[in-house]
Amino acid sequence: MSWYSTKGNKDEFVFSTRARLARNITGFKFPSAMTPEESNSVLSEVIDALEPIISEYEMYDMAEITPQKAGELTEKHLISPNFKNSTLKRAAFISKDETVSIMVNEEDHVRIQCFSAGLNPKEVLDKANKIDILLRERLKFAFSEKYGYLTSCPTNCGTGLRLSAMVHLPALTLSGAEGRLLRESAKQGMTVRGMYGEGSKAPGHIYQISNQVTLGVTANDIYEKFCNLLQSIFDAEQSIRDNIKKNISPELYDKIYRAAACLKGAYLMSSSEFLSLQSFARLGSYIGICDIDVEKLKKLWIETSPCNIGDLTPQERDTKRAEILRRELAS
Amino acid sequence: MLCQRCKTNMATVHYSETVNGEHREYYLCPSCAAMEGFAGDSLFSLFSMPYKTTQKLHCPTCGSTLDFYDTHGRFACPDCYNAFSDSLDQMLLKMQGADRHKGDMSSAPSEIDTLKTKLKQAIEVENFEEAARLRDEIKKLEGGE
Repeated sequence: MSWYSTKGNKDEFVFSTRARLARNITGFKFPSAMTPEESNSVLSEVIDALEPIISEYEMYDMAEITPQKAGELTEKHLISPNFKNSTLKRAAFISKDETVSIMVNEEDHVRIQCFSAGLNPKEVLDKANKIDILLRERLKFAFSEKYGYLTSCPTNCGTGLRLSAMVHLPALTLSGAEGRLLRESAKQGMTVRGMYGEGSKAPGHIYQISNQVTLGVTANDIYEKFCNLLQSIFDAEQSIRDNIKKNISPELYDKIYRAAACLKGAYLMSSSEFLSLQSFARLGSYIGICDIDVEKLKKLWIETSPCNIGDLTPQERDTKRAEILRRELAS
Repeated sequence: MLCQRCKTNMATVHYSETVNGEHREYYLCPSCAAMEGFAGDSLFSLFSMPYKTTQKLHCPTCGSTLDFYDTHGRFACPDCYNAFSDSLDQMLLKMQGADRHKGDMSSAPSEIDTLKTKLKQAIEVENFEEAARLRDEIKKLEGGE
């Protein structure tokens, strides 16, 4: 069973937590300026450095994998969108349970990413730190006392740490409190984005919340701010959900019932329709007015995403997605 | 590239400046540059100033200038941080609310590594007196003479 379909802490609000560390090796230009030959040397150094743990990982060479496979990895957030499209030698080392992905020659030489289901910042941070310690014993990372870890983009320098959570906030969004959420997050040095990072939209009321500030704060400061902000967001979301439960409008009742019925009985289902419907069905389940297996919905979200569902035409995908949903959710 | 002023001759004099975080560049032919002179806030308002040639700031390790950052939104190499620290500090204060790292120093370079970097930079800019001093300091730390 993959990590994303396992039960996690604060499941009612959080799909997953991720810690990402950005690191670069001294003596090399950043990927933004390096030649393919230099990127090859960086990759060789990282392969050597990973030697003690490499058997736990599968290496995906971006020059060799198919666009279909790259799409699957992107949908699982194991690689960033467009990671495959480069003249540089790029690779991702992905642990067998898919909880760790180490991207080489993305925006920085090394990007360590650790994932967990639900809210689990401590676990993902500890895991990323362990890999960082192993790598820095074997590689010389670019670091200055003044600027900390030196990253290609100065928005990541200092700790190089980005702690993020993929959260589901239907009540806050439906009540129009989205703007307040953005403002409050910005005040705390945190940022709110769509699912696939910078510039992406937030379909299905799903947001990615992460620390914006990486410099002038310690990793522990980031961790504490992250936990505090998320807790206040969850409190606000829960309080609106409680209000909805007490005074649900016929329109919302209808949306939730229709969503659950469509998920269980449609013949064609696009991925964007699925995201929208799962949001209402999840909300309905958590406020106790509809009976749908939210654990299964979470698993099906990844399994039926456009690339993970298989190399099919758009209509074949929509037919297969609806078929899987009918089969999995009917019981 | 043609001279920005006469638009006839080739521009061979290059001047760049960063004022209050705003980066500007001027490309002139020698005669326009000599005739007009340039420095300060506005190129054309200061044409009466004496002729001055300014070396564009570049990273001693990778040779890139701030143009690279302006174009790509990224630096070209780790040493660009020190090379452009004056402009960078202002940018970081706006971007991150801080211009100094806090916390974990486990990857901080040793004193010898720092001196070696400085030695490399001193040689790049042909400051041989400073380079000799740094070389002696490194030797001392390495337990040499």
